[in-house]
Amino acid sequence: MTRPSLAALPSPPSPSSQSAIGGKAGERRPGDGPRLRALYDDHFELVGRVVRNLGVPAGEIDDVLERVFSSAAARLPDIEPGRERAFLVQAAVRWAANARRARARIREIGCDALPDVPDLGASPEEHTDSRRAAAVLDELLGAMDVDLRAVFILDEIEEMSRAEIAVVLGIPAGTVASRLRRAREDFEARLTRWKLRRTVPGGLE
Amino acid sequence: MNRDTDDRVGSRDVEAAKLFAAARAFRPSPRARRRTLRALGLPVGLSLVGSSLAHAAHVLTASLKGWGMVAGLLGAAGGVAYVASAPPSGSRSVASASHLGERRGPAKQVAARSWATASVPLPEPVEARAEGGRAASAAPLVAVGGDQPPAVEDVSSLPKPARRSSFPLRPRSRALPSDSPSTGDSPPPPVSPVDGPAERPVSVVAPTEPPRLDPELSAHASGGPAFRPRAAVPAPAPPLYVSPTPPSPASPLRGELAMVAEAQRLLRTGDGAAARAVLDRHARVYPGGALGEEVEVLRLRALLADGDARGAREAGESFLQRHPASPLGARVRSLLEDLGRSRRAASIPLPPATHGESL
Repeated sequence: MTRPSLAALPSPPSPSSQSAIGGKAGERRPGDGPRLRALYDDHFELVGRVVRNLGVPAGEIDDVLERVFSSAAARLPDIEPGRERAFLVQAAVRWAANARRARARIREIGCDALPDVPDLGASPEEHTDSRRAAAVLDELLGAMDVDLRAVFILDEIEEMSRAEIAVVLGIPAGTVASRLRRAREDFEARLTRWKLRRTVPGGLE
Repeated sequence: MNRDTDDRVGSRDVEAAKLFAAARAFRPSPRARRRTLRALGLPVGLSLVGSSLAHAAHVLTASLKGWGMVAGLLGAAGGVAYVASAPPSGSRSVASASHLGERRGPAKQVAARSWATASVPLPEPVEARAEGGRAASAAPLVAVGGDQPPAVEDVSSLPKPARRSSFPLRPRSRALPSDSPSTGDSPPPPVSPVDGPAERPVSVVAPTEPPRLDPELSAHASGGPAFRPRAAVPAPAPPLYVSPTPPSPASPLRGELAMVAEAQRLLRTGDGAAARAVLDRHARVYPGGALGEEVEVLRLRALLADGDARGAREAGESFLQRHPASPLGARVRSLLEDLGRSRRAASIPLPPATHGESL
């Protein structure tokens, strides 16, 4: 239903062009280095959060981030100055949708993270809270269409204004408002059910 | 704007706000950072210097490629190369060596070995750094053409088997309880746990007397075959604990590690006082040691194990003040949090759980 809007996004990093993207970083022009550095410094954490909160499984976040930034590096001349964030967020939405679709197609039993890769990030104590929250959030948002979810997380988690969201996602403000309304209704209904299930021993479902 | 924030689920619902706050706290893993930086062709961490050195190594190996030689770039400053003649397949090793150099960065120099049968292995990077200056002056470049194995003259710059003797996991048994320990033939005498200086009483049970007084113990501690002198006195009580790697002056880190491991083991058994004793000894023997922060955290845990909440809190807060950026800071904070939580739980009765939950 909201799929057509994806076609309107710039720079579709389609899965078929993945190898081309990977090879492009080598042919950078001399002046690109500082701009890429700024791209990374200014937006890496935001894009990381967006990718995570769009429901990309933990084991694939690294992949998606690398692809998002590789595609930005490959198309750097096409990105107008000041539009970097929009490009990256839109690429993140596309790649996240792609990862979710790919995961849905896979018939193997998934494993969220590679077991023996040392994770030097947060300590276990810090992890548990955010992991648990991430799991709950994915449960509540899991059935939501990725376009709705993108608007929703940019609003609730990134706390962007509607105008910002419209710019970042490249969609009209009216579309942002309507998607946001639907997403909130959906989320609140699920949240209510989740609370009930949690407070009633044994659950309702 | 206002309408935006007022409508947010997160500003109306406590549970949702918590979820969103946790989601906001997500940070990509260091691995993701490295991969992305690499994909962008940007320097990862400290590899700026690295890439230039790797480039130098690449140029050097490329120039030697035609000879079918393997070049190992040694020494950060000198760029000392050991070149050994190699069979034609050597050029492949060159490629892989330079590849390695690029990937692993400059600090780790490439030490390639072309002769599978060569009896003299090329030096490892560690030695290269340690002996860099000497090797550079003595024999910066050993290049031998033809089919012969490389005639390496400067053997002293190459790793010696004797290197192992500085970590005497298995000292030769003749050095143990004989009446005249022969130290003539080996300039660096094998440092057995019992040879340690008397002012370093680091091992729990290692005696400082000559080894023959306690043959069983020293044989045990060294892991060597049990050696019994003719007039064997009845063995004393078996040692409570023999540190698996007895600390030796030659490898302070090893000694520190042994102590830390011992303290951890004692902590697991719940014996905070004994663990603290080990840590005190660590402070005496290795003032300003490399594992100082680990030891401090262990001490904090030992205090907790003994129920000394105030001491633990003071130790933790002082640690956080002195090492604000320590990787162990998170651990200390969580220990302190647990402490606060248990104290609160003990003193303040909690309200019924159902009230605080919804809204």
